[in-house]
Amino acid sequence: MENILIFLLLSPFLTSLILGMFPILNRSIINFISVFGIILSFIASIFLMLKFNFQPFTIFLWPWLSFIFANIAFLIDSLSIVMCVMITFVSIFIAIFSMQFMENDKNLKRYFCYLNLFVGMMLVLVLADNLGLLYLGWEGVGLCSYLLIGFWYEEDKNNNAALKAFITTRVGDLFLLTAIIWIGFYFGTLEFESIFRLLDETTILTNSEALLLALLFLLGAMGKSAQVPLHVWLPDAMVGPTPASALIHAATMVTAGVYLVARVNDFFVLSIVAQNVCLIVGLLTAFLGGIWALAQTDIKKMLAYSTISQIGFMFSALGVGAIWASLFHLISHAFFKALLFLGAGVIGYSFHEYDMNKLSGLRKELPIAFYAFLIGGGALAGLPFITSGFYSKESILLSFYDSRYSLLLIFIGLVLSFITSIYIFKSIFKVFLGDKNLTIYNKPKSPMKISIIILGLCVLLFGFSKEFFSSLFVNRNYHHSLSNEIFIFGLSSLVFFLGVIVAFMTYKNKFLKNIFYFDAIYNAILIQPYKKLCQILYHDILEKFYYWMVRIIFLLSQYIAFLQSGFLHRYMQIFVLALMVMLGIMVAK
Amino acid sequence: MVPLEHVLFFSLLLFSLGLLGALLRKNLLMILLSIEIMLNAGAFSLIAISSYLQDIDGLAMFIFILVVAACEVAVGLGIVLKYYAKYRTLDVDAACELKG
Repeated sequence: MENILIFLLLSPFLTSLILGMFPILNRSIINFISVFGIILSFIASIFLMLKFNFQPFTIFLWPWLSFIFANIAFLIDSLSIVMCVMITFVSIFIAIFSMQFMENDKNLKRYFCYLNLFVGMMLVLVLADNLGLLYLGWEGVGLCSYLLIGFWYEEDKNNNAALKAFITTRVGDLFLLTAIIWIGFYFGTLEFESIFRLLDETTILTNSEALLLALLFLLGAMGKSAQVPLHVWLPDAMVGPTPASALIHAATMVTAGVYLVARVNDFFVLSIVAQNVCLIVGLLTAFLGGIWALAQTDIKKMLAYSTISQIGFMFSALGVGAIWASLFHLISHAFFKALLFLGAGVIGYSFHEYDMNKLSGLRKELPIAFYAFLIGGGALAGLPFITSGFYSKESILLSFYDSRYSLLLIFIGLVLSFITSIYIFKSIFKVFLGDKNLTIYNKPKSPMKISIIILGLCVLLFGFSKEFFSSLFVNRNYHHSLSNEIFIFGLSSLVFFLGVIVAFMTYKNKFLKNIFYFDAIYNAILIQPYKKLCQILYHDILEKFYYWMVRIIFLLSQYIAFLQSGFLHRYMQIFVLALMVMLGIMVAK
Repeated sequence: MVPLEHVLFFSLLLFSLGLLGALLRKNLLMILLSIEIMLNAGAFSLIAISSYLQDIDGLAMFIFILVVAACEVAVGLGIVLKYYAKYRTLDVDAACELKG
């Protein structure tokens, strides 16, 4: 068991190290090393899953390497195993896709180095047995995301986007760190199992403290998962390579927040208020994300906002306590959003263009991208019965139905589905129907096609694992009467088709203008004052003080500069003379 | 048996010669040689004292000094070579860029 885990964790890290350190020039060897590392990791996680018998357990690695609070220990339970398998599986196909997407990039080695490092860090995050190790993975994926967003660092705007992502997520991280330190002092341990046992058996926390802790965790998760109002970094993060966006900003990293909230759900259970905050943040984000997605003209930004919106959906499911529904949606979202991003990657690769106003009629030119978008978009909007997105969204709606505010939430959920269905199909119609007006640069070849086809199959088939999936989280299994299910199935199918029809009628119209200027607000109240402050401080009195300090030292140094004659003999003579004088003094005493 | 004073005086003489050479010669190679002479003078006195005190420690130290000297020669000759390649001379005063 330990060996499997070591394989699982070390193969991405080691391949990343190899790629980072050794001067490998052959591109196919680079490709091979990267994909091989991830595939090894995937195989290991499959083995782990097969050996797992629904009994959570902890594996200690390297007990000698433990810090005050954080052991190098890994918790194997349904949650972490499901995440592991998903991460490594999606990563394989994104790496394969990247092989072709990055074929002419001169920094291929650096790209794959970051990619594998990212996979490793994400695995540390989801497998961690304590909050300390989790925080390591948390910051690790933040770092890798920074590196990958700013991958093409020659352009200024990419660096700015990378910095923005890093700083915005750091705001969330600060809250998480506060929560971790607090728990460390209060509970005396950071291990999840001991924390939850203490929570269960003792009244170590008052209600308000539990609420505060839960809110701190939630804020941390909101930063990483791009929830309103900390979502501003995700759309800008799209300047990175598209496969990296697929991996980081759709499939895995942004879901870390959902994972965190699911992991520390016991704190949320203690406090209704925290759950409601989570629900409201989720719904608000889902709604605003959908509206923003309607207003985008760039495919990747549209997908970014749709990611924000979908993650908001997962948060709202967490807010009503439906962990498994949220995770089910997380996994199916990872598949179909990766598929959509890879489709966008094909378009970018073939046409060097992401602007939907300029793209049209790609159906004949790029059938593979068309099918990717059709399946992925169908799943995103909840195409009934054949896509996984339908089943996962239904699970969330059903959990809404069970909650305190059932009908209201279902209504909101249906509105959200409606918006989703409009924006995604509007883009699909806009890009793929009509007459073509651009010339094609490159044709997608087999690596791209294979990865898209396999991810597409996953999107289609994953929905049928619903029963198995919910059985992984035994305690949280819900049973619904058939009539309820049919009622919700019917309503959401109706909404889906309504959305498609609206999209079809309006797709030739212009896109909405960008509304709700969050970026502008942040710019006005945070960034500009900061820059002003910097400007004021640049010319202040302290600056003068330092200036004169330097000046005086410079002037004084003129008087003793002659000692530095530049002749070696002079130095040696002074040295010997000084030594003799010192010896003489010693002897005289 | 040579008395200890003689040996130490010889060692001092050798050391002074080395020091004078290091201070006065302009040739980098010669300075290096002079430094070696100083080092060996020190080592020589160590051996003498160790045999006078019938103690093995001094001999052990000598072995260490030998090793250090060998390393030093290797590094020093490397520096001399690079020096020559850069300045086309072995005159130490040719390198005076850090003059104040």
